[in-house]
Amino acid sequence: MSTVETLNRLTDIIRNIFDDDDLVAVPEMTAKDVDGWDSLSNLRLIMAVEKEFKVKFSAAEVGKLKNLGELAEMIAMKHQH
Amino acid sequence: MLANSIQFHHFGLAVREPGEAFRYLSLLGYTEGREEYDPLQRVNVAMRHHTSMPDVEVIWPQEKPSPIDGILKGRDSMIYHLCYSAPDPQAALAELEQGGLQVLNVLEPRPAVLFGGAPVSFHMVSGIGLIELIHTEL
Repeated sequence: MSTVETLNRLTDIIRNIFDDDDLVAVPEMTAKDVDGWDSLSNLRLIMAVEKEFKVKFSAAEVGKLKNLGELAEMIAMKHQH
Repeated sequence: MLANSIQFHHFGLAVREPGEAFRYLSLLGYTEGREEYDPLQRVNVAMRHHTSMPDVEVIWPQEKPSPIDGILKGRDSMIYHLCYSAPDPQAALAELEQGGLQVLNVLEPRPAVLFGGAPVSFHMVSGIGLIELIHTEL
């Protein structure tokens, strides 16, 4: 799966989680860029990603993520293994 | 059955400042329990008990940044977790997943001063939200 495809699927997820059809997932995007992206909605986002991409994250992995680009990289890494 | 594996313990109420929450609970007949600063979670925590209503843990920031800043973003207070005591947390979590619920481990077990150093862990459950498990002795 390409990074572009991952980001497209992340776009669908963030639009659904944050109820905003104008959002577009880009690697640099962080919680500061989106209204309503608090710690609880961040966990909802991770759960939606787990379900969509059929991957599982540990608490430590979730804590390390800094932006959507790192999330996309982690998804790709998990799909390689 | 999950009800045999875990038992309700308290609601977790995050507040910016605890004064009014304490007054509200006091008017309802709640009595003061332990109050501590939890250095691992970097928040103040205070238990309130009642003879006929569920216990409430009031949590408020000690310093900035605090781990509950995000929860309090744009609001003064929020009940944000349900806590259960669980003699076998892994079995309880497995039971949730076997029941078709998605579970995300949020915080690995760490000792909680409010519960005498018993380990607690946090988990996000799909359709429910955040739960805390107190790892009690078998």
